[in-house]
Amino acid sequence: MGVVLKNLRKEFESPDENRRKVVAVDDVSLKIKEGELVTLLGPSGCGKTTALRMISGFEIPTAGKIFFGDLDVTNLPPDRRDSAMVFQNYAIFPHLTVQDNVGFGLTVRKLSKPEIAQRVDAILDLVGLAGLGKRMPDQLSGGQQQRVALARAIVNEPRVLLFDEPLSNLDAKLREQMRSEIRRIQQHLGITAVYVTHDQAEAMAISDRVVIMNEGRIEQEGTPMEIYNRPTSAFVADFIGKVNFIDAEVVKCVGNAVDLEMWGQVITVEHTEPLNQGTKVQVVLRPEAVHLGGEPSYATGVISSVVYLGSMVEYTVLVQGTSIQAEVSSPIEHGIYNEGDQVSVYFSPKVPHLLVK
Amino acid sequence: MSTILLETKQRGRRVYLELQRLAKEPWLALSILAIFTLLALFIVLPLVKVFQMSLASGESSVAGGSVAMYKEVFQSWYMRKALVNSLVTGVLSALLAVLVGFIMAYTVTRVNVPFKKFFNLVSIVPVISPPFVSALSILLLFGNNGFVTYNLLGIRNFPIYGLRGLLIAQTITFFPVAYLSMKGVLEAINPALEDAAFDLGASRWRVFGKITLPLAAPGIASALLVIFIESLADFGNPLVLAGSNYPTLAVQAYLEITGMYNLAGGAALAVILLIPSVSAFILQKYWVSKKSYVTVSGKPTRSTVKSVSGAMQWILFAFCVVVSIVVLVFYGIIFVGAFSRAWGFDYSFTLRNFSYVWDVGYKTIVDTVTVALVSTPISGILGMFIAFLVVRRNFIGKGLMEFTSMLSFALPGTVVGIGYILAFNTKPLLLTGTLTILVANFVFRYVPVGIQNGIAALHQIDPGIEEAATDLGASSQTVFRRITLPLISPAFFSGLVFAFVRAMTAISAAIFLVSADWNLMTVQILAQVSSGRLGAAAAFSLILVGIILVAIFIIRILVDRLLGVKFETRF
Ligand SMILES: Nc1ncnc2c1ncn2[C@@H]1O[C@H](COP(=O)(O)OP(=O)(O)O)[C@@H](O)[C@H]1O
Ligand SMILES: [Mg+2]
Repeated sequence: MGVVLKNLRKEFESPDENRRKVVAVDDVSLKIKEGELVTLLGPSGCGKTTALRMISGFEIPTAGKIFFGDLDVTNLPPDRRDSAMVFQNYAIFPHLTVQDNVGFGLTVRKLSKPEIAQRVDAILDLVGLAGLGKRMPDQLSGGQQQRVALARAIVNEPRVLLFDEPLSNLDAKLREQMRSEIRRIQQHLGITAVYVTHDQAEAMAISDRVVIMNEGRIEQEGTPMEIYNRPTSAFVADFIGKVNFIDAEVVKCVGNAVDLEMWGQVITVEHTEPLNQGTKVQVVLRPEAVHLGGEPSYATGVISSVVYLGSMVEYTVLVQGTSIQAEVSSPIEHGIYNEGDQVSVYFSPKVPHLLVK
Repeated sequence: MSTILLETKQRGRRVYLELQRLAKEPWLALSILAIFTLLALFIVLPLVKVFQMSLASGESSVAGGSVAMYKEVFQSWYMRKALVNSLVTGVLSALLAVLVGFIMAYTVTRVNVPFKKFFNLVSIVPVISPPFVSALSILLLFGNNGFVTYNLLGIRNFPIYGLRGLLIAQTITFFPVAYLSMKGVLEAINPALEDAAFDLGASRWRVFGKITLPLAAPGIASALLVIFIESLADFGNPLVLAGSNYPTLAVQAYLEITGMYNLAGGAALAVILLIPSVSAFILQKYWVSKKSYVTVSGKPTRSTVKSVSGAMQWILFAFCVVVSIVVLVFYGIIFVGAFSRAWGFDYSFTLRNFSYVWDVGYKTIVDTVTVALVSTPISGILGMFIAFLVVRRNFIGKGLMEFTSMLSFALPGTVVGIGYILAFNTKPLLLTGTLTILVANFVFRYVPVGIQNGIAALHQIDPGIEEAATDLGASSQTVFRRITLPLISPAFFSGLVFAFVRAMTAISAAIFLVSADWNLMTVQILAQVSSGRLGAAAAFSLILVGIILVAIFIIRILVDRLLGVKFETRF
């Protein structure tokens, strides 16, 4: 079942004295296809949770509509919606055992005891908790609690699965493991899912589509690749991964080739849209696309800082008075520069992305 | 102009959406409606009636729009004195009780002394006994035939009646309230703050004066106001101890109505009593509690730094020991009194007092327990439910519901009692003399404590847990019963205990509402005291406390059984 958000808006009265209006979600429209996993990604406070809570029914939109399939659910309370949520801090019932937690939704639906037991067992199996049904939640590790929350949400066979930063309380290793687990189960069940996170790596890893939010609005939506390589705004470029913005001016534009005036010379890069001569642009250049010390070369820079990270080295290079970030992987293979070294700087004409100012 | 229009329109739409949503949960909507009706009926209506009656013109006791009664009251020097006395007693009692409570709480939380558990226990004792038991003890110790005054010192008419005796009785009655809240406040102050001050080179006195005390100040102010309210409303102690030379408002209002049949005069006094009480309540609720720096969450971690010097440590310890001894003597003397043949003259052992109590009071005991058993579960569940609605649900009039239900805490029992006899003496609300009126009185008078506990407990629980249940398809009532109530079961338990204890021990409102059909033990105890049968009163009190202890035990088991929560494994 697909989910459609139509011009969703949510205002809160700020809790402090002056009762200002806070617009948490501002004119958000989105179509989520059946079986798709879409992430809402954005900095803290940008309205992701609020959007999710409107989908789940915990907040009533100030304006706009929400559809599950063809059904308008905008004003339907959460217990009447075919959605289930995995909460940020798991929200496990601390006074119930694992199996009672997972079976809660089924008991509410008044299923027979044997059926509940059977379905709970099957789900515990699916999420890798077989045999732990009799435990109390406080006897579980963080990762296991996370699995209980997931099991509890999917045992009801909801048509829409919602996640609010489900992994933010886990350590880095477990986070990576759980996110592929979640992805596996979601695809296995073929369930439509909306996943909220502020972690861009997580969003890239798990999603069919990423929706970048900023101050309540959608900045950009697209596949992880589109978002990373073709950001439509400086905000998105900056939010997803590290980035260099280099000011430049269009000198000439013929077909896909754009001649840019940058770093005191003319550099030709590829661009799909025609640009007028004299247009000021920002060249979006990812640090890993910057090549140092090879041929050909666009400019010469001076290394101003070196950070060794094991799998790669992060350099800050001063080029024509502006600093840019460069990442060089496999440092053993490529050698390491020192502060003050002079290096040539180059990037492939294919990689930069241009933002018109 | 147009923005205002737009605002109104949007607000209208919001209200409409809320209503639409409530309509989808008819059970919730109905219970909200029912609670509002009950609050209007049993809290607001009696209050309105008291105001109306106090404005009755002169003799006729017919409700009207005249302030004659107030003029009359203020022209009488005796009534003016009652007002002054009540206020003076309230202020002094609050100061004394908070001082004692604070010192004990500080010692228990900050100083390394033995017997902390014991001090804690001693402070609970006055909470579960009738509020005027300390007055009875004072009579047994310092009265005409008092053990100390008459037997030990040979003084016949020691002047214990009046402010002095009243202050002692109220301090002992109310200091536990201060102790418990000060203990909570002091435990909640992050010890790292005090440690940091020590670390920066501050002396002990400086740390106390510049860090601990200021941080605890809102809590202290709040305790002062609460005890001021309780002292103003206190009825049993002044009735027994104040004597006619020291009139107080609550007692005068009662005497005016039961002795002089002057309903209007009693009502006017009640209103005068109401004003400082409600003012203190509003101050406490909307000003002091907002200033609190202390967050209730967080586990108390004890600092290892010694907060006081060695000498001070032992001074504080001695203070706690003295207070404990006084409390134990005060309650121990009741025990002795219950088994003594003739107080002041013959201390030989007897069960005569008990057989007497059994003869005259058997039916009263059954009545009292019945009233308590009926009102306890209603009060307990209502308290938790209102707390649940207030914290977790959004509906129109939520603030009003919270205020009204909490308000009855600030209404002196005397006011409520008078209000009830005025409001429920004619059809269709003819309730005087019934079980219903007593139950309603106890439920609505003491539900605020349950609500407050419930609200505090709910604030500690991640709302996501209940949302998760809703999300899984549970309706509001299922969420409340299966998730919320078990999670706040400690608050539920203490709400039930409080409801039971108060139903057994309260007197100030109930004394207006008892009848031949439904009488209460506290009223009987007071009658025994008034007629000088102190032994019988002591025996009665002992039975009362015994019933309470048994009940607490049973409530604890029941709560655990019903909610499926083991008491030990509270999270
Ligand atoms: N119940 C609420 N009352 C008032 N403001 C709120 C409420 N919930 C969220 N907000 C505000 O709305 C904005 C978006 O919040 P949220 O959706 O939680 O952001 P995110 O999940 O992206 O961090 C924030 O500015 C937040 O302060
Ligand atoms: Mg959030």
